[in-house]
Amino acid sequence: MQTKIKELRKARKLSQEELALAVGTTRQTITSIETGKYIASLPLAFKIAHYFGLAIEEVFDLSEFIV
Amino acid sequence: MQHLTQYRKTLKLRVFALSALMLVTLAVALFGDRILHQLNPVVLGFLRGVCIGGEGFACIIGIRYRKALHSDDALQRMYNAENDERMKAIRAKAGIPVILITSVCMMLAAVAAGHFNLIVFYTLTAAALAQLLLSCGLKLFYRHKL
Repeated sequence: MQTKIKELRKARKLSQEELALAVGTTRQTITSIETGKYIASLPLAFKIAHYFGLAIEEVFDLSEFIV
Repeated sequence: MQHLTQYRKTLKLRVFALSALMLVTLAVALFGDRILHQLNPVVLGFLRGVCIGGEGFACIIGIRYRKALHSDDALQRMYNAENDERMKAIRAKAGIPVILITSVCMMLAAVAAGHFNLIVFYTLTAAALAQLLLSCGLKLFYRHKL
């Protein structure tokens, strides 16, 4: 699943470690989410979107799940 | 934060449990031949080796826990690492903790059976080690995949 986390993170000059600490996860998980290897659960996706002050669909590309 | 307060209490309990485990394994490692003299020397040697390894492992884990108890940042990082959903998914796919529990049970059974038959001891130990290796392999595979 494609996400805009990397762009949003770089715009705010945040490291993966800082974002991970802020949303209660690890740097490796943030890396996996950014590369599309791992799909975040709803609570984690919500925490990340909430941290950036955006809606979930503005951070995560959900088009592949729309039938 | 409430979850960190609760986690701090959990870590303190774990440090206490690790200290108790270290005392027991130290006793077996140092006085095994006097306490368990009826065991086969091969089985006793294996048990001593496991105890010494367990002692070292418990030491390292205990030091990490004590560091986390003295630093809020380290505590938060440890909590995040332990409750990370991706790592939970990887552990579940690798069969942890079930494979660990069955492996420990098999090794205990191997030590007990070794008193009667050495071949059963070797078989059970080999099976337990094979299980642990399989679990490690799966964990590494899924860490790369996810």
